[in-house]
Amino acid sequence: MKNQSRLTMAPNSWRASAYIIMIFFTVITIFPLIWLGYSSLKPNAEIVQHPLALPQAPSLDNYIRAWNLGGLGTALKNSLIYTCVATISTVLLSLAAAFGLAKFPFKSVKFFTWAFTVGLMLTVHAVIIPLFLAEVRIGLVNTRVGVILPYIAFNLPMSILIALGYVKGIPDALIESAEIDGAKYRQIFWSLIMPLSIPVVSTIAILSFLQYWNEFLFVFIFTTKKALKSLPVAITQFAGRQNIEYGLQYASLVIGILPMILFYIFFHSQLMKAFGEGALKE
Amino acid sequence: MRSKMKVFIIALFALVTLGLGAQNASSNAPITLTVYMQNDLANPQSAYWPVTVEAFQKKYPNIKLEFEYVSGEEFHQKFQAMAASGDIPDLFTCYAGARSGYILDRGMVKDLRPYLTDSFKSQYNSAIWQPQGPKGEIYIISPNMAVCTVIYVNTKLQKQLGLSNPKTLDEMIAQVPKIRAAGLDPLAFGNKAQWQAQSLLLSVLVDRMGGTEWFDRAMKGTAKFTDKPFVDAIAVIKKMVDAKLFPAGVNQLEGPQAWGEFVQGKAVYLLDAGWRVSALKAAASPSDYAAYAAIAFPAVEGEVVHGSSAATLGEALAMNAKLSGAKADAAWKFLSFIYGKEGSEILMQYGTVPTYKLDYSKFDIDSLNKQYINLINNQTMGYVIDAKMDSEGVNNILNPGLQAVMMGTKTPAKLAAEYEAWVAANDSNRHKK
Amino acid sequence: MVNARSKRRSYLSFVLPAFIIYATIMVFPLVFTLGLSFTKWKGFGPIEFVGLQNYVRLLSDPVFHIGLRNNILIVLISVFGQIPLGFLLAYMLHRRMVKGAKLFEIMIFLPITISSVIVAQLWNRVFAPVGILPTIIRQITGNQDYIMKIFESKDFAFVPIMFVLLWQHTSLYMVIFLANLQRIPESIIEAAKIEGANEGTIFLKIIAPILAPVAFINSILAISGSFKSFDLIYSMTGGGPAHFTEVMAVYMYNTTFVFQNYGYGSAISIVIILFIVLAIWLTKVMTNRLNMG
Repeated sequence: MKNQSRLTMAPNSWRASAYIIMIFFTVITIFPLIWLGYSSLKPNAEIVQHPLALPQAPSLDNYIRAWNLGGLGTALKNSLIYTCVATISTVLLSLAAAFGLAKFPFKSVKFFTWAFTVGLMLTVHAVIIPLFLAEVRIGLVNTRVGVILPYIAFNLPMSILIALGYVKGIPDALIESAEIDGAKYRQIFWSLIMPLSIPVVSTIAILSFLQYWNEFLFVFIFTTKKALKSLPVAITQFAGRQNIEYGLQYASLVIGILPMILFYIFFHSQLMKAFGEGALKE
Repeated sequence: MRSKMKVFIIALFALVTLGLGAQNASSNAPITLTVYMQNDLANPQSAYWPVTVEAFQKKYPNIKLEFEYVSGEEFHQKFQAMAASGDIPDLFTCYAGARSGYILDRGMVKDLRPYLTDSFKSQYNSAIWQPQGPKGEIYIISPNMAVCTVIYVNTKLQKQLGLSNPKTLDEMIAQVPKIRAAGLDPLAFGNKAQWQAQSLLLSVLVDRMGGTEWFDRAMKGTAKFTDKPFVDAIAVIKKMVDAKLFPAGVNQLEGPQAWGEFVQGKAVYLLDAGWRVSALKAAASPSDYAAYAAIAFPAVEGEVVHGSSAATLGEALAMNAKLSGAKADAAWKFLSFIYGKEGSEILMQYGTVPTYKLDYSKFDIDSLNKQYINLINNQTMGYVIDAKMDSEGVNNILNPGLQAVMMGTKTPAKLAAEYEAWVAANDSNRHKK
Repeated sequence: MVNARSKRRSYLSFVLPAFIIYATIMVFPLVFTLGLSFTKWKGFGPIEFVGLQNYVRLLSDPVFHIGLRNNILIVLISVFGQIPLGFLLAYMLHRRMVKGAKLFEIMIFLPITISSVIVAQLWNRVFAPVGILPTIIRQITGNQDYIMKIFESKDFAFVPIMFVLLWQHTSLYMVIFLANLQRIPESIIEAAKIEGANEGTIFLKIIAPILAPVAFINSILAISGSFKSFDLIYSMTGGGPAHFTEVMAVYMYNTTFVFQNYGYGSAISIVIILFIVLAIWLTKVMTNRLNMG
């Protein structure tokens, strides 16, 4: 097989139009971000007078001020805490539930599965006020737990269904032989199911991470203290409507975008695997 | 997860116990007050606040303050959720009027009258002591009159174009071609958030066309919003749009972008509120700022009230009704400081005219503020609509409707009819016993 | 040997923790919301039962109709825009029609990693009258008054938002399709080529059938996301100007939090959920029919 077969056999006109479309898309995607990036290196006056030009004397001044004024260091720390704890919890809970629903022949399996599916159609806002009232009664407002629990709850339906599809594919025979060997179910879960489920664990972890990191509403409503704010909340409040310093706004937006971009660049092959595995199961 | 909960509950319990114990201890023990404030520290207008807080802490080191700041409408949305739960901070931003109805109507705000001795009240502009509640309650010490309509003038540009202050709206409209030919916008104004057209423009126009006397009757129901004064006021706005007074895309411009344009010298006039002065001062170069002037909204054809503006009491921090004992004392110390002599002096230094009577000769008041003080002392004040009428009618019908009128998709008469229909059926002013 | 009761206990210990968290946080509040939708309540004070009044009001509420129309537009742009486009891009990348595929892939995926509220802020800076796009156009055309008039058009104000949604979500579907394309064994394609199949046949006979279920799942995701759509629109326009870009979720939010009409807001929430259920059911029915035929 020649190397030529690696590339498509499509006629050149196809290739040309493919290039055009690709480049067009890339430019549209990248241009606003690039513009935001270099604009954030300009002082406010320069942004106003020469919005399109490259910075005359690029400096990180905006970033330093935005970081301090907006409390973005704390926000970053909070985002990490919320996201990581919620992701780990989601993975464990959904794998456990998937194991239970896939491998145990009880009648209630149907009910639970259906109940979780319903969750896919619920919206956050439909429940946020009663949820807030409930959290106050229990005393969970202004606590990290009070934010993390709803995060998990809202992601469980999707995660469980993804995991369910995968776990169903684990051969029953493996489990049965472990049972015969006298293993308890907890041991089976940890030493058999989990290792076999690494692909789907990775899928759920990545999808959850993406969702939690960018989440806005829960943190905004359920926390009042600045010390608990996550990154999206801190940034929108800072880059919000009263602030006329464009330089500060742009810098804070870049700070908001950067973590996930880095995450994607570093983890993108895992991401690809995740989407491949996850999406094929129904 | 469950043991985490237990630890948390135990910790909470311990904290509460310790807290209770601490309050019973000597009165020298530090008292902590929680403050939920509508404020944006990045806004140049807020520059005075950290200075005020620091001054207070110097005088009362034993009173600790914990702040949470939220700006804009999000403040209200979050606060409602807090109010719904019954758990609100010790001090919080409160408006006198419909805007803070969700907290006032719940009876969660302390009536300050027991603290307001006559000698105390005499130090302030008497206008702020109008009753704020149904039984005459006073909830806030308003630090400034929120005058909602001022026309700021860039006299430098004006002179360059050979123009002078317009006395009537028609005169201002006549200036448009010359201004636009020079590549400038006549009247900078931003209405993306929808409330500006109603608060900063419609309110003053309604006052000019009907006065507070008509508005009082409209609130009761003996006059209707389909009456001539209201419809004519809306029609004036349409006239202004058609005459190209505003920048193109006025309904896409955010407030800061609009006065930002003025500060950059891209507009000759600016339609904004009185509280914008300190922002202009912070953002403009001193030489530009020295050339700014403040005038009243020009006369409108058919007006029955002349030269007025619209004003409402500026918002202020209010006290949680549940505060008592040492905490209430501490809260009062804070309020009487920031709205008393010391706080007012700081406000003055930063360019805001306080309601506390200060000896102005001691201050070096800049030219714009001088004009502004002069202006508001010689104007009558009409009502600001969203301070008087219910939120849903204003936010769901009137504000978007004004945008529709400005964009030409609705007629003034139709908007008036829609608003009147809603008010008649729903507004609490019409349904008062 | 494991006895039935301890098996049952193990089963429950695996399923219940997730179920309890889910039920208490999502289901019970939902019941509360459902109940509220039959009342008139301003968040405090007496709760007044009004039966179906809120739902009846929805039928004739012009703002709700605009919101519904816009939500349907989002569904359309998602299902007929983002998904096909995502597929097209994935296909081109996978079939190596361009060099530097990896780079393109990374670039195009970026938008979905950004929080919606930040995406909104970014595009606001681009579209605003003082923003980058009008500035460029002004320099090109010399028309100093140029603004994006489309935002003020009753019928087309929603188009820029659809564009941003396209920008944001196409990448997601592209990645899902690409990942699944990569799972198709190269050998099958090679075999087909040997038998003389051209690009078109390969696509129709091999690739399309394998990806059909993926497209279906993507449609379901897209549809339920479309009806819930909130963050981006709220941050970009807040539903304005004059309700032109209103969507149901934003209307619900304003009704509840700004107008303090909890009963009506709850009714809107319930209706949103009903629409999602309906749309998903319809999709299932149509796909079944397509598979049969």
